[in-house]
Amino acid sequence: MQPNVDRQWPVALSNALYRCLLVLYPSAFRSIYGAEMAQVFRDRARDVYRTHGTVGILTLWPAALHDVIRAAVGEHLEQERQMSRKTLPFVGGLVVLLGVFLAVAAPQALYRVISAIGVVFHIVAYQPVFNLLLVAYGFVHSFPLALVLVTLLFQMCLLPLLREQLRRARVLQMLQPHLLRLREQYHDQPQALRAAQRELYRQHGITPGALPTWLLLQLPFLYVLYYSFYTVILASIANHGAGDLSLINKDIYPFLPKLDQLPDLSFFWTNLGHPDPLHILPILAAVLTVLAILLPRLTPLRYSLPHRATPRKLRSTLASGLIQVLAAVLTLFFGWAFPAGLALSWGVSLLCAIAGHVVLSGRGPWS
Amino acid sequence: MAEASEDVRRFLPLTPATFHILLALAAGERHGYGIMQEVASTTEGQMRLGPGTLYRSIKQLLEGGLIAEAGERTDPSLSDERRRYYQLTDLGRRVAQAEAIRLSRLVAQARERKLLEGLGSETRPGWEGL
Repeated sequence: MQPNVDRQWPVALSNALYRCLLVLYPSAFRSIYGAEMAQVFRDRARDVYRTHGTVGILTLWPAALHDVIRAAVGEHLEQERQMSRKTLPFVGGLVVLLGVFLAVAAPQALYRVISAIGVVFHIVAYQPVFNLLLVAYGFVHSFPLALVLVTLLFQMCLLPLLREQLRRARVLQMLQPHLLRLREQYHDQPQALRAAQRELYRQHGITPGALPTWLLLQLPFLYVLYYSFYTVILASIANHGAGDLSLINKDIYPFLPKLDQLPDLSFFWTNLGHPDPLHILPILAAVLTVLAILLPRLTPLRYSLPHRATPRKLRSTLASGLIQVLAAVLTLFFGWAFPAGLALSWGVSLLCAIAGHVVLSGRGPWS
Repeated sequence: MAEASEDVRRFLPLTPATFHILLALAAGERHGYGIMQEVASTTEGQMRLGPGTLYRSIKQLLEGGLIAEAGERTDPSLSDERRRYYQLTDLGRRVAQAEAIRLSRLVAQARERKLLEGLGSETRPGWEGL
């Protein structure tokens, strides 16, 4: 009898909707109680549907929405409170110091701090990448190819990180039964449980704290690369389209040769300095983004596992579904609006990550 | 009526939701939906805990040691899914008792000040028990 009720569309739809709403809760709370809350809601929806039909389901929702919002907000606030008990003195001290500093030294000092950050960025990040890009260009005499080469170089530097991420994922998977056993053993002593988990991780060479994830490291790199690339674009459109080579040459290191003509930015059907008119590059980049995130172990790995085994599946499917949609939409948006060179570099990075993942995860010749 | 000890008193007064959950568990182990049904039936449908409120309260009660998990099993009257059951701890029983005493004193005061007079006879027997 019950499976039939579950398959009725008002019940099935309500259950699916309710599970989506669980995203609103803090992840720590959701990972422990999410599955049980969904179960309780389903029980109630079944009963109401049996006694009152579709109308009953409709009358269930106002109270359910009220409950979800109230409880989710309450739980978020509760977590904030617990967090702030530990960090408040520290953050408060910083804010007071900063306030005193600003009151005494503003606004000239603030201006100097911001321009100092700009100068540091220029010297430490922008100029090296910019010069690397031009050295690569000097070798291959094609600007798009130089862009791809610099991207490849950066991705190769990230390979050890990718390997470490995969190793962690494997170890965590292997430790899963141990962790479950520990959880049963210490189910009423959360502190002892955490200590035992830490000890287990330590024995298997996993250091606490999250690794900087592959996806996260891409953003600063893309930003610096785009910044370098943008100098070339600016130079080629300066003087009402006539171009200004000095804009490029002023940032080249003195010991490197200067350019004597502007680089050609055309790339098959498009110009890398402009948005792709056919939108092929952004669409390809968005597809690759989804693919890369679907490779399960490329996404951030958590140091500590959720407390229970069953709700974990629910949480990860919810979270990764959202992330995929968001990442694809963002990629499309940026690819559509920004010069095509950005989408090209992002696409190459993703290809590297997918290839690296396939090779390192044990299906390739290097494993 | 002995005074409640310090470990019990720091939980008082209980919120209505937590007191109802403790009451529901006083009769025996229940799973989440069982608690919800029990609360609804004892209050004649006036108090319906939503899943969010229910599990936030359960979380607090677990952390305070007032209730404990009592394993997972299926409930034959519902479906063949496994459900997690909860039970009252000794501390939880004492806290619920202290809260009941606190409330009964309030009701006694209300009666002393003649707030309960002139109510329909059908509501009286319920109050007499306190």
